[in-house]
Amino acid sequence: MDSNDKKAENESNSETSPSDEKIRELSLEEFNPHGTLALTLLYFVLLLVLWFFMYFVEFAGHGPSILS
Amino acid sequence: MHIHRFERFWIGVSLVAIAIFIATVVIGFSVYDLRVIGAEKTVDPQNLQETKFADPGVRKAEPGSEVDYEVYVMSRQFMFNPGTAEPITVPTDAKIRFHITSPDVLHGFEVVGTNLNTMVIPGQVATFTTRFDTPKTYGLLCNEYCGAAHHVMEGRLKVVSKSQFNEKQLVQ
Repeated sequence: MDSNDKKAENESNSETSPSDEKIRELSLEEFNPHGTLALTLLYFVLLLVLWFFMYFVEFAGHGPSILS
Repeated sequence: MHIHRFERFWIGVSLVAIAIFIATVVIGFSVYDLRVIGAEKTVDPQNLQETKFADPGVRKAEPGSEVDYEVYVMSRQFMFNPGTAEPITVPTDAKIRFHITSPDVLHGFEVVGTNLNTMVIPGQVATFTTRFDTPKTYGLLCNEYCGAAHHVMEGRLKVVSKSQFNEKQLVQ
């Protein structure tokens, strides 16, 4: 369904709720989900911190280790 | 294909994260000298009487060896020999190579609270080298189910200071 069809459908439907109305149209590049970006970065930071904790504290710091 | 710039960004971050993961493992291998159990020797589990496992225990390494002491441990249902009846006693500040095998079923050999941990497979000799810096008594346990009394299969590894270590206790 292209956007013109959608528009026509919206106009013909008298029971459309206000939330269904198109307020403005954004292209993909204009859509900036900063919240998602922040959350993703937070996950990456958490992943790296936990990786360093697991590898250097829980594993490498858990000697004696196998040397050869 | 069009990719949004945020998506391009976090694909890049993922690749950097993978590079960091690989780099830490390389640093662990080269700087921290962390190794894993290497290639095992094979042995006939029915004929261990003809090997050094016939008289297991701590031995002085042969001259010219890269290690100071060699420890032969026989893991069997449901004990470590030595380890369970009497502790394995080794000195600090010495390179110690463990050789562990089993004449019966699959066992585990874990020095509790350390990274020393290996499977013990009948017919194979698990070998690893380590060094203890401080005197301490560690527990040993079998971490592979080996039968009805698996849960009581445990032992002791006693690390004593070099001056307290009695070489007369060594297996000749």
